[in-house]
Parts: sequence; C-alpha cells; structure tokens
Amino acid sequence: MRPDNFNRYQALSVILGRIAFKSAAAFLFACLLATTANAQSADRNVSVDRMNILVIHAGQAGNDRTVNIVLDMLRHFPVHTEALQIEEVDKTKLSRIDRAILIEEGGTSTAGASISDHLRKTGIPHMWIACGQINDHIRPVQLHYRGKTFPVGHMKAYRLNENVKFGADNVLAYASDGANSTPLIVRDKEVWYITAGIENMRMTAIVADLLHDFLEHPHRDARQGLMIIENVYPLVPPEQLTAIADLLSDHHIPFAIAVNPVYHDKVNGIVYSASDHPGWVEAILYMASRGGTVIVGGNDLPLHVETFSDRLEQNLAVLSHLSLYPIAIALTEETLAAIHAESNAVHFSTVYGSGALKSQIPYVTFLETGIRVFPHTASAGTVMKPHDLGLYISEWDRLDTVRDAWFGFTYDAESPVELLEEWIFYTEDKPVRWIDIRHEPHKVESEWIRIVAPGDGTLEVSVIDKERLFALSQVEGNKARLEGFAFYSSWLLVGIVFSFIVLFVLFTLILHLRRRNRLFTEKELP
Amino acid sequence: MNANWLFLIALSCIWIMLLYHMFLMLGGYLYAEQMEKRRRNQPLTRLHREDWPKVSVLIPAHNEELVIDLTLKAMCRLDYPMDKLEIIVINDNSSDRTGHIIEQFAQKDPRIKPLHLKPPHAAKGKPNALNQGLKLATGEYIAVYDADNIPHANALKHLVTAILEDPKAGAVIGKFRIINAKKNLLTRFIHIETISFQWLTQAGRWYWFGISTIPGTNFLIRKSLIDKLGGWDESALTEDTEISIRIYDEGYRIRFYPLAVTWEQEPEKWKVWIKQRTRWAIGNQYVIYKNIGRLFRRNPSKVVFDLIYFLFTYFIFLGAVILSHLLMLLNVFGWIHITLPGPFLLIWLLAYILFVVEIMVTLAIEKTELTIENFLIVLLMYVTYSQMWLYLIVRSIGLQIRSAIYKEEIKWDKTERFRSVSGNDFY
Repeated sequence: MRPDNFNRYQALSVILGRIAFKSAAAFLFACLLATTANAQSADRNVSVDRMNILVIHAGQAGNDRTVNIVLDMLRHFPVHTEALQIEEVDKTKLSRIDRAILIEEGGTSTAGASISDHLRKTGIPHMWIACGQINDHIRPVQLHYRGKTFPVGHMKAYRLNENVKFGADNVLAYASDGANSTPLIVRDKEVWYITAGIENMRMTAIVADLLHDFLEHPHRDARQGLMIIENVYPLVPPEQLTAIADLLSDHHIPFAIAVNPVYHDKVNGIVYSASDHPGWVEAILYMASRGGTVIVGGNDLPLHVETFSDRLEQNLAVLSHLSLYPIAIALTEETLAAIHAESNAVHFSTVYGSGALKSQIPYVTFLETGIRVFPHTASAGTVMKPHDLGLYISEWDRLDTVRDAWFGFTYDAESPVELLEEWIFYTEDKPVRWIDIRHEPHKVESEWIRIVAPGDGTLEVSVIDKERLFALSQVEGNKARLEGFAFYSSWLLVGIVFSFIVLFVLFTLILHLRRRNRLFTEKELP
Repeated sequence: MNANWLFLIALSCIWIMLLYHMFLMLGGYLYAEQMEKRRRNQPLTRLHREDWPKVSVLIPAHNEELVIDLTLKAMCRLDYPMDKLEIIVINDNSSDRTGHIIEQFAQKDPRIKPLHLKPPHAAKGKPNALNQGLKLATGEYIAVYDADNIPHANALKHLVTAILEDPKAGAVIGKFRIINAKKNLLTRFIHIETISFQWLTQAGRWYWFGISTIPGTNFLIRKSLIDKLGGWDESALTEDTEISIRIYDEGYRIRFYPLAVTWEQEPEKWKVWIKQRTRWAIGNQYVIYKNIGRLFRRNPSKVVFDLIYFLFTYFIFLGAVILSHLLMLLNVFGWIHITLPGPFLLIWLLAYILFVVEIMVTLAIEKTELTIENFLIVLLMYVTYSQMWLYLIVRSIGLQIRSAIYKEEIKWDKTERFRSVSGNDFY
C-alpha cells in the first residue's frame, strides 16, 4: 500500500492530538515495515547478549581518542563494556570476560603482547588495535577491504610482527602506499590483528564493520537511512516546504521534519513564533500528509543548560499547541554531548544527529540514559559546491564500507529545491532503505505532556498540565513582539538622537562663530 | 512582569523625558535667535515718560543684612520714571540689621517704602510676605525681586515692554545670572544649571507652548490678575510654581523675556544647596498633589504640559532611573537576565553626549560661557551634580512621608546668604 494513504491518515491523527488511530491501511503498512523496523531490537537479543567486553589500553582513561571511539562503537551492541589500563589488568579480570579489545602500539615485547599471549592461550577472542612493529611502517594511500579499494591519507600501517602467520586466506584487509603493501587486518583464529590506529575515519568504518564479526553480531540485510529536512522555522516560505514534501513524496522517500517553531533571529534578536504564521503551519501539516514526521529541530538551541531547557520546552509547547506533536529531536552532536544529558526538562527517547558535525560512528548507539542516538552522516546545505558534493560522495563511500551503517542525511529547508532533486538523483540507486520513523517506537516525556509512538504508526498524546502547555506556548509570541519593538525602537531612537546631536553641535558652532556679534553678554561680576 | 518589561518601561520613561528636553532645546535655540534680532532692532517700547505704567516692586527680606544694601542700590538705579515706581521692601521680622538698612535707604529715596512685619503676621515664609506687601501696592503691575538680586538698570523696562505688547501675558519673567558663579565647584555647577534651565526649559517651553514657570524673582505680574487670584498660596513652599499654574488657569500666558536680566546669589555650600533644593522639590511635589486632578479633565489646559513635566521630573523619571540602576545591578550579578536586543550601551552613551551637547548649546547662547573650562565641568556634572537630584528627590519624599506620619509641618527654610560682592564692584 502506498505510504501516502497512511500519511494522510497520520496527519489527521496529529491534528486531532491524543487519539490513537488504527486503520486497516495503517496496520497493513505497519506490518510490512515491522519486520525490518524491529529487526534492530531483535538483533540485540541474539547470541551476544550479556557478553562481557574488556577494552585494554595503554593511554590515559578518558583522554585516549581511540579508546573513546571503540567505547562509542560498542554502544551499538548489547554488551557489558569495561575499559582498563594495561597496568590494571590481571589474570582474574581476564578470566571473567568473553572478548577483549587491546589498544597498544607495540610489538612482541610489550605488556600488550603478554596479555595477547595469555588471551590466545586461554581461548578468549580478542582484537589488537595498532599492533605491529612500531619502527617499521608504511604510509598507505589505499586500503583494500572486502574486495573494494578505498583512498586514504594521513595514517600509518605497521608491519605485522613476525610471529603472526598470515596468508591470502586470513588477511581481511591490507594497506598499500603504491609501491609496498602490508596486511592491515589479519585474523589468526580467535585473534584479530589490526596494524593501524582507528582515528582515521575510513579505518573507523572498517573496524565498525569488523566488530559485527568479532562480536558474532549478524549484519543487517540492508542499510537504513533517514532524510531529515532541517531548519524548518517560521520564516521559511510555505511554498518551499510544500515543494520539498512533494518532491520527496513523489520519490517515495519518507522524511523527518526538524521543526524550529520558535525562531530566534540572532541578528536583530527578534523571536518569530509559529503561532503567528498560520500559512506556515498549514505547510507543515501538508508535509506530514506527504510522508513527513514532525520532530523538534534542536540545532539552534543554546548550549547553556537552563536556556536550553526553557527553549526546548517552549518549542515542544508551541508545536503541541498547534497539534504538531513531535516524536523525537534533532540535535547537533555538540549540543547532545554538552546539554541533553544534563537537561531534565524534556526526555526524548530518540535523538537524530543534525548540523554540520559528522559522526565517526556510523551506526545507532545507545546511551546509558536509554536514549537512542542516530548519527548524522552528511548535509546538503545552502552553499553546496562541487567540493562539498565530493565530500558528500566520499561520505557515502565511507559508510558503504559498513554493512550496518546508518545514513542520516540532513537537508536545509532553505536550500533550492533543485539541489534536493540533484541529491535524489544521486541517491536513488544507493542500497539504502529510507525508513519512516513513525514505524519505530519513540517517547517524549515532560512534566506537562507525554507523547508515545508505539511503533505501529499511531500516536498517543497525554497532556498532563494543560495550563502549563498553554502558558509556555504563549510566551514566545509576546516575547517576539516585545523584542521586535525593543530592537527597532531602540535603533530608531539612536537615529533620532544622533541626528539631534549633530544638529546641536552645528548650533554650537554657529553660535561660536557669531560670538562677536552676540548680544547676550551680561556684565560678569567679579 | 519580567525583567525585560521592567527594563523597557524604565528606558521608555527616561527617554520620554530626554526626548522632550531635546525638543525643548531646539525651541530654546530658535527663541534665542528671535531674541537676538529683537535686541538688535527695538528692544524697548517707545513711550513718553508719563505713559509708562506704575509698577510696584515687592522685595521680601528676612535677615538679609549681608545683601539687602546692594539690592536696594540696584533698585534705586532702575531706569524707570521716578513717579511710576514704588519699591516695597518687606522686612519679615528680621532679627539682624535688615530693617535698619531699609530705613536708611527709605530716608534717601522716597520710592522705597518699608514694611516691617511683626508676629503674628510675620516669619511665615515668602508667600506671606508678598501678600502683605501686595496690600500696600498701588501700581498697575507688580514686580518681584528677591533680596539678594541686582537687576540691570533696564530690567524693569524690559519686563514692562514685554507685558505691554502681549495682552495675553499674565506675567513676564526675566533671566537671572549668578553673582558668585566662580566661587567654587558647586557654584559653577549651579551657574551652568541655571543657564541651561532658562534656555532649555523656560525658553523652549515658551517657544513651543507659550508657557514658562515663574522663577520667584525678576518677574512682573498684572496687579489685577494677582488680586483676582487672591495673592500667593501661603501653604506652598514654591509659591512661584504654584501661582504659575493658577495664571495658566485664568487663560493667561507667562512670557519668558531674557532681555530683562538680574543677578542673584546661589548657595556656596552643599548643605545649603541640599536644603534649598529639597524645599523646591517638596514645593513642586505639593503643586503636583494639588493639581493632579486637572490631568483627568475633559478639556485640559496648557497647564497639563507642566503638570506632566513635573510628574515625570519628580516621580516617573526618578523612579525609572532608580529602577534602571537596580536592574543593571541585578543583571550584573546574574540574578535576572535582560535579553532584549538593541544597542543599549550606545543609547546610554548617546544620553551622555546629548546631555553635554544640549548644555553646550545653552552656554554658547551666552557670549562668554562657551569655554573649555565649562565643557570639562559639564562632563563632570553628569556623573556628579546631576545624580544628586536623585538623592534630593528621595529625601524630599522621605521628609513628606515623615511629616505625614508625625503630623509635622514642613517649614519654609530661608536660603543662607553670602557676602560675595561689594556694591562698588558692580557699579
């Protein structure tokens, strides 16, 4: 069944608010998608459940970039993870683990080598990152993995230690500088040797892909992706929004609409509220009817915790007041890291990466707070140039390395629609399944509203405190008028006063020049 | 109401006042230009000696022995027909040699008529003394001078000229200058303040609205009018402002005529200044309380301009400045967050520049006052002398609250005099 039918239905449910709709069409469509939509959660319950992973490293805890990348990537898997420095590791600790990831530059005589030996003897599978002879390396320009060749720069690949046996059957990847080549990833029974660091984004992608095999985690049958239309704020022309919706809908691409219902103009400080732009609200509803799902656009939220919370609550209130109930939020990775974890005002179970920052981690991760974070992959911004397109393509290729990669693309709502057409043309043959996020479970909770999307395409909205919702949604409108008035009137005042000052200075000069003829010269008393 | 609203309200109140002053300054400058031309052409009316109207000059004096001789000398030298002038000097129960000096002058000059007041009719303040003097007056017009004044010889003729040529003028006020301007920093501040007040507030209001406020000295009023008004209000501490309102009410104008010049003393000590200005503030607040109802009349007269102006000066502007200072402090300490956009620092800077420029225009109108020294004093004035007004107004409100609670009467304080010039220095 065409998603359009469902989308119209869903749009109606959004308008009516708290009613959860279950139509036959929606149900059938949901069933079709349910298999894949729930695949991720199903994946997490297979053989690796409760597997204990120890990350052993030589660097300082928390400061080692490689360790952080590894730990972030492990959040994708349902495993218990612990990180220890080499000095802290003993046989007792090693006896309690199922897998180990060793991060240490070095050869056979290091502490890492001893641990690796012990793990191999005890039959514990492990991965050794940056192993090899540190005095013997090449600077590769190409990496070869799974039959594909990728260009690369700014990295070193060490020569493998002599005691590691490798051949055509167990070299999973190798690096080449054009003249020489060296094994990059070698699997020797239960040991994965990686002869380079993983800070390079290409290497991150390769290791991400490798982790599935290492952790015996099945690969997904298809890569998933989400198109997010971002910077959807009240000043974007409604016709632009409807054109975007029509284009994506015509190509059967569902999308998320990252809405900033309250826009703070940083130039003049004026606040524009969606409540004051009914035409724009109509356009959002139209987008929802064409396959769009409303989420909160958080890329303009401030980095100050209190202000972040206030603004986030206002955004949510304004959207809810307009019956545009959001089911997730789009945040920049920077904001997510700095704020969202500390802000308790509104809890979103799902966060989509947004903005210019690109995540090194190519798949969904799970934070300790229970939040799912879908990374941001690339953007099509307003100033896309051939160079940007090159980066865009390269990002596609990088993610292509990872069989389970998440393709999170953001498109600026103010960009020309022709750019979107170009993007669609380039993307159409890519092996990505664009998901409709309404068919995944989401939850938004605050003290005054609760929005639950169970994953069957319906929406359950409970307004806990109606008065507060109303109050929060009204503040911005007043503020907009107040700030606009303050801004323009203060500049008008500056203009008027400045003119008069100039005039008065002129008067003073005139009076001074004519002082000889002036008559107000009362006699001075001593 | 949040901090943003409060900030905007405070700023608006402050700038309504500043913009109004800016507008007045423009009028003041244009009026000064008019008066320049007037002075060049025909400043005085051409009348035969016998056609000049009779004028009674009232000079209330309470313990004025330091200055009264100079004042009376100046009065005797007034260029006005002898038989058309009577100078009624009201010795208001002085305990010093004031009465004696007046008698000496009276013996020499028949125009001087002493009036010695004794209790229970004495020492009740200037309005009472003026009312007592008014009873003796026989002139068609009444001129009032303070006991420390040294008017120019032609000052009275200028005042009479101005009132004769304007039948709608109930009173004419002249200009006053400071005798002891260079005595110290305080008198320099006051000197600049008086020049600015007259060319900005008085001349500006006269030019635009045909109103000005009687300053208490160097003015002429129709006797018929003052009789109709029942004399001066003896409850008022600023009887000049009070009577101005009643003159407007009668449908007359009060004309500012800066060609009539007198010189007067100003306080040389901060303590005296605070006392004098507190009295002014209390007096003007009394006028507001007494006339506040006029603001809500269906057909308000011109007086509403002055009432609103006083209301702003003594309450709204003051409140706004205090609120603005408070908000600034709270914002600095992070207790509130003012997030309004706008060039507010620039606006503050412009307020300062406007203050300086406006005063420099008024000083430039006076031939001798546009000096580097005065410019530097004006720069200093904004952050010192001008800010003292806040204290004065708060003090005056505090005194009134206290007098209301303890049922005390606020008495008329006589301003302390100084002997700063000898008669020979001036003549």
